[in-house]
Amino acid sequence: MSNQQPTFKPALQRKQALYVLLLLSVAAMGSVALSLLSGSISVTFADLWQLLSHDQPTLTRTVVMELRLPRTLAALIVGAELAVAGCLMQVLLRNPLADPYVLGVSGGAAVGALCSISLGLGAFWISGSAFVGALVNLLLVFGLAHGQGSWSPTRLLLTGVVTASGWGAVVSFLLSIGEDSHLRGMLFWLMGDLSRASLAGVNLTVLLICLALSWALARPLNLMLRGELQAKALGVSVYPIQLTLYLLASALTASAVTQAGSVGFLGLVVPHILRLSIGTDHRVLLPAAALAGGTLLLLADTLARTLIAPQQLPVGVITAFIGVPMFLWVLQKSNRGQL
Amino acid sequence: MMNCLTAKQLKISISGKTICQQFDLQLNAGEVWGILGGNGAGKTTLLHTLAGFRAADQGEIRLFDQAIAQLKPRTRAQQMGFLLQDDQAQFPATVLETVLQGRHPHLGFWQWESPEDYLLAEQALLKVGLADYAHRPIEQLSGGERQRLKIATLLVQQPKVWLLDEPANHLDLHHQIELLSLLTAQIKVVQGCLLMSLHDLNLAQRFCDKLILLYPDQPPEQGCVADLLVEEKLSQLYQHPIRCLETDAGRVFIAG
Amino acid sequence: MPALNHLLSAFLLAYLSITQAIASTVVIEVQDDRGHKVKLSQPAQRIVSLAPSTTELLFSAGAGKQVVGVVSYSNFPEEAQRITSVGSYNQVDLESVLALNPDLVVAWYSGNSPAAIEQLKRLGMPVYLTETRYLEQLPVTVRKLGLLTGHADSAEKIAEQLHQGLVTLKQQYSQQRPVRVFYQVWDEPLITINQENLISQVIELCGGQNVFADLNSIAPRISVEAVLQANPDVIIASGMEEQRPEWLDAWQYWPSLNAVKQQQLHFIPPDLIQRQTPRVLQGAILMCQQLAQTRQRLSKASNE
Repeated sequence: MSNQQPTFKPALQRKQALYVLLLLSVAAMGSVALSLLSGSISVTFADLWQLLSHDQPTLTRTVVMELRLPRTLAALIVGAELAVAGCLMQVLLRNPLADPYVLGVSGGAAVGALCSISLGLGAFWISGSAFVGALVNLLLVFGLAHGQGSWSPTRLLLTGVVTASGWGAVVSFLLSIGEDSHLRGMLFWLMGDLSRASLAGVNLTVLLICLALSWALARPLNLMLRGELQAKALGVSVYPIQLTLYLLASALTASAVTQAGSVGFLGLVVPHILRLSIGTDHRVLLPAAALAGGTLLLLADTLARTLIAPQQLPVGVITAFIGVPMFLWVLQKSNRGQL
Repeated sequence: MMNCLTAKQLKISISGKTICQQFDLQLNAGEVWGILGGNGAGKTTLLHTLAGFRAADQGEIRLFDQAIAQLKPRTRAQQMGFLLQDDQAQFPATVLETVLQGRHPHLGFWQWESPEDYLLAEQALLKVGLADYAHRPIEQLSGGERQRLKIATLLVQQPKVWLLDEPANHLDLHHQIELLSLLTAQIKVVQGCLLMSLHDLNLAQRFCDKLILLYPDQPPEQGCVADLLVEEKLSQLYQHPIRCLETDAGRVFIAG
Repeated sequence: MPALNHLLSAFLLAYLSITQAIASTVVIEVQDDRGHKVKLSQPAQRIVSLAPSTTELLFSAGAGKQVVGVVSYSNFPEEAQRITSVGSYNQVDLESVLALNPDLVVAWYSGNSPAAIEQLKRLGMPVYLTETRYLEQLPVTVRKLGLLTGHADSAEKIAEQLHQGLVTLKQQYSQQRPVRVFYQVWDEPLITINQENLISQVIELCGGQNVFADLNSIAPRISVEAVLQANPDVIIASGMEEQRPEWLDAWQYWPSLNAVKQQQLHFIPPDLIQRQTPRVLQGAILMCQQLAQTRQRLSKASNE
């Protein structure tokens, strides 16, 4: 039996994974092109080509380079961050219902941002205080979940969920005392909005670092899904990995929320759609989630900009409109079993 | 004789209940040990402590002469495998993906599974009779099939020290005998040792060389099967009359 | 027959006083802006005003002294700030309203919560609902409020001034060469107004065209690109404070915009144009002047 050739072809599986990633990259690039081409001012493919070769300051050039490109990149990066954060959070809490916001990161950020909005401060302060809010939540939940006893996914989840609802109450309070003229800004922030996206250099750095670190942990993550003890039995240092996961997921979420407000749904649905269609191996899943999340958010944002143009919709509404049916469809078609 | 796993002056307690005190244990190469005891006697706790999953109150556990608390989890998992009593599968995965996870402690940080690893996985699945199920989602497996999958994962892990928490769970009679024969045979090949908790006295009688009895009201006792599998001790162990019948198929234990 | 006479006269007196009493139960009756009848037996003496705009309307009708309760941001005229507050317009504290024991409540149809108004009506409170959809309604509302509060004459004077002011502006500006106007309510999110908004009517009054008049919602959110596409001749913004918002000058970044080329980025204090009060006339005068300036620049540019 030992000199028998294996019937399972690892090379084939790796090739399939490569195809999946390639396909997703093509989709991402296609959606970038689509996003750059659509908007109130008509831009053709030829125009885009010209932009690359010449650099005369025309209106088309300014619109594409100053309005559409930063927003396109921000959508791509924020989508990727949320999808990866969702994957990590689901592993950390070993709960299929977990999303990037379940531990209250977005709640903390929302309180920070809404305070700034209600004080009438500018975009820089809104982003800054959102980040501070996320950071406060990170330390608060970590401190409380750690407490005297041991840290367990359930304890962490409970602490996070309760903290998140605490933030929710503060948000409601801020909304109810908020001045009328600020309310629209607050609501758009809460629904998720990419219109104030700036060149997302910081976000890109956060994304790349977190993606690289979590990809390095991909195989242990596969084991963590089988349970803490099973992972321990197979030689995983569970606690350091949980801690890393918590920090990575929080950093990704904080950076996404700071840039775009709380765009719902993406972080929950993208990991599941991918798990159901390409499997649970995080070595493939994590990069795939980054690509698919980025593409989905970019498409949603393009729709939000153009669907009833010149009026603008909050992108969070569109992600839910696309995400829900897509998820249900994949769930129906899937033969990889239920969650 | 090489000792695989030793415990010295061990004290284990859980929620105020002491399971053992000043407990010494030495598992030698080639030995198959059984743990017997009633519900809540501490079989799982003892196994988890010996595996280093939880700390002992006192005492030291050494795996191939190295303190288990100081071992890196990965190094430990290369030498010691553990069959957990329950599994938590809330996320989808295929049988093949799951069984390949047994290779984790042997793979380097950036290493992917090689064709050899796949071959090992395939052989393990053949041994437990799941080869045809390789691409099935694990949620579609029955309880017994899942138990066989866990055993296959252990076979792929290729440890020397095997700690099994109720390996016979969910298995039908045929698979109980077949898989326990397979595992105990493996021990002799790799010169390792095996310690398992069991509920079936007849399996203990058939497969074990030595036993640990975890009594509800007195310190544990260890020794050869012949010395410990006697009506008097067993009745005390389970607080229930146990009878031993001599049949032409050997000794058989039944509850009175 | 002095006794009988006496008796008769007593009956007569009683009869008279009864009919008088019946008559006096409805002394004043007007229809509010939503077409509901508001009946008072005597001019209102204790009035609660549920919006900053209704407070202003009451003051301009001459009834400022009778107002006993207002809501937050009722900052005009200055005396209004010293009146007891009953909450904010979107969250009125009904108990405070009742505690003031008002004989008239003036509410804002599209601002106050319908539930609160319903509750007040159920408690037997006379409620006048204001809702200004057209500029010409403003003088009418002032007249009616004057009638309800016993200041018919002074209210009439103010209403007539307001009416005349609007008519004059209309004659002077509305037929002039059209100017394309983008009115910016806020920058983050970028919000404008459509033709249903009162501000859009002020724009038309001054001979302007609201470039986003045809959008569906009354305060739609749009993109920067849409503004570039519409390429307005003038951008008018209000913001929130009494001074010019910083973000108005952010449009300088887009030199291709007509409004930037002609340096037509104007500011109108929000209270003068976003509140539905007689002060709209001041805002309208300001806007007409601004648009006239734009018109001048445009014709100069086309001559060059």
